[in-house]
Amino acid sequence: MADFMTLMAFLSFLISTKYSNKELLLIKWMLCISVISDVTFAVPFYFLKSYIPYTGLIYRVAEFVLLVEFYFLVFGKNFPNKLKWLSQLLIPVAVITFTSVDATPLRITSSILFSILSTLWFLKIIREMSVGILTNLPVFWMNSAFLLYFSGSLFLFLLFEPLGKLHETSAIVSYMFHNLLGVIKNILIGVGFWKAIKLAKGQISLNYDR
Amino acid sequence: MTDEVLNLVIILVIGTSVTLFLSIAIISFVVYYQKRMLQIKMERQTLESEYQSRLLQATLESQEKERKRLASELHDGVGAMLSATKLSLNFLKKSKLNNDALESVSEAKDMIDDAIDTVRRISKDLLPASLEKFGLSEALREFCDKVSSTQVNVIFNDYGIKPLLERKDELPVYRVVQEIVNNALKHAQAKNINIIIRSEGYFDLTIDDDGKGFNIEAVKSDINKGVGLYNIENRVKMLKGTMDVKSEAGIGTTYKITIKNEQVDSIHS
Repeated sequence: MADFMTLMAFLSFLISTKYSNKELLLIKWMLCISVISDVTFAVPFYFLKSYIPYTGLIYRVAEFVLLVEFYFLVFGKNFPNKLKWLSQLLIPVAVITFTSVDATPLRITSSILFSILSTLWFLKIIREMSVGILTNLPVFWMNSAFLLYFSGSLFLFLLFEPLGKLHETSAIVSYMFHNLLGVIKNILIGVGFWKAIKLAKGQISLNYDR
Repeated sequence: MTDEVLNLVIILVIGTSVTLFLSIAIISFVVYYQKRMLQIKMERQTLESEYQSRLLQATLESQEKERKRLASELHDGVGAMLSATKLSLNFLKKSKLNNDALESVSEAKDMIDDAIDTVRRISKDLLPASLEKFGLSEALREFCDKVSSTQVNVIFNDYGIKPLLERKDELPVYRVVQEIVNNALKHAQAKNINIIIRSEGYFDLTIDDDGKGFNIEAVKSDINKGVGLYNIENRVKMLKGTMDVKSEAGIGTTYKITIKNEQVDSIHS
């Protein structure tokens, strides 16, 4: 499942190379870092039976920073003030995580933060009602991907450590479910980029009258 | 598996299921709600546009009705009175009057003749009798003959099977031509105006002139200048037609109006 998740991230990244704008560029970078960190971990692990440490941690920190920036861009001036303050506060958490070599606090906080932000984005869309065909909007797919992934992973991140200490097999099985959510997330991001390319080419429109 | 592990697994499964269910519910709700709201918005817009169209149609119809009433009043009322006055003057002319009185009567008769001509012209402008009697082509031919002079050449041609336009739509089309020709003469100082009607499948009306042309966008945005063009557009819209205007400074203006005939369409289909 982990390999499949990496493959999906790679495919989505390939799709994303055909499109770039400021908002989606951050997601493209996120996919790129995801692929590199997974490959950096997997190749020595499978072939040399050893692994390069901190690859997952680097990805977690990068994912956090890039997604905060992504939501800053997506919300613009409407970025919730309390969350702005919270996300800025969380940057030291990311640094602490990095230095203490434990991604759990960052995973939990980012799960909560991005679940809230992605839900707020949907609220923003409903309030503004400025988009005609929502499913043609690339950010809709990416935001859905983040909502499903981070909200679905919240309990996994919360209970992974205690479960691992008590029963390793259960923890591994639960992490496989996290990987499944990762596959879904990467597929949805890929759909988002595919829509973005079609939108840029004028093959689809956000308005109903076209 | 111990009870503690089991409890953790149950919490994990229930928690994850709930959060995932909530996420899916949020996404589905947003898509459904947004679609529904836009549908309502579009329905409201359609209703508003239908209302506007009906309002416009009612305004134009009442305008035409009023013109018809005025034309009839002028022709049958004022025109008849003037004719009667003319008869009385003729009768007076035949009676024994001195030369001064006869001259005055003659002058009055001439003035009455002018007044009768003016009333007839205004009446015809308000509602051309030939339109009701002989149809659009004849009415336009008559209009072109009337407008043509030594300085201005207005040519009318029609091709195709007749009549392709519904009778009730002929008057608005006539008004459109009247407005366009008047604009060409008044504002563009055109010397040559060509009016072509093609009735082949669709009703096509093309009017081009060699006037000085105009900036379409500038005229449309100027509330004082754009009324004529706005009226033309509204009449075409009321007829469910399309209009394409091309204008170039120093070369002239071309109006292309296409109207679908619903009756002809239903016969063809």
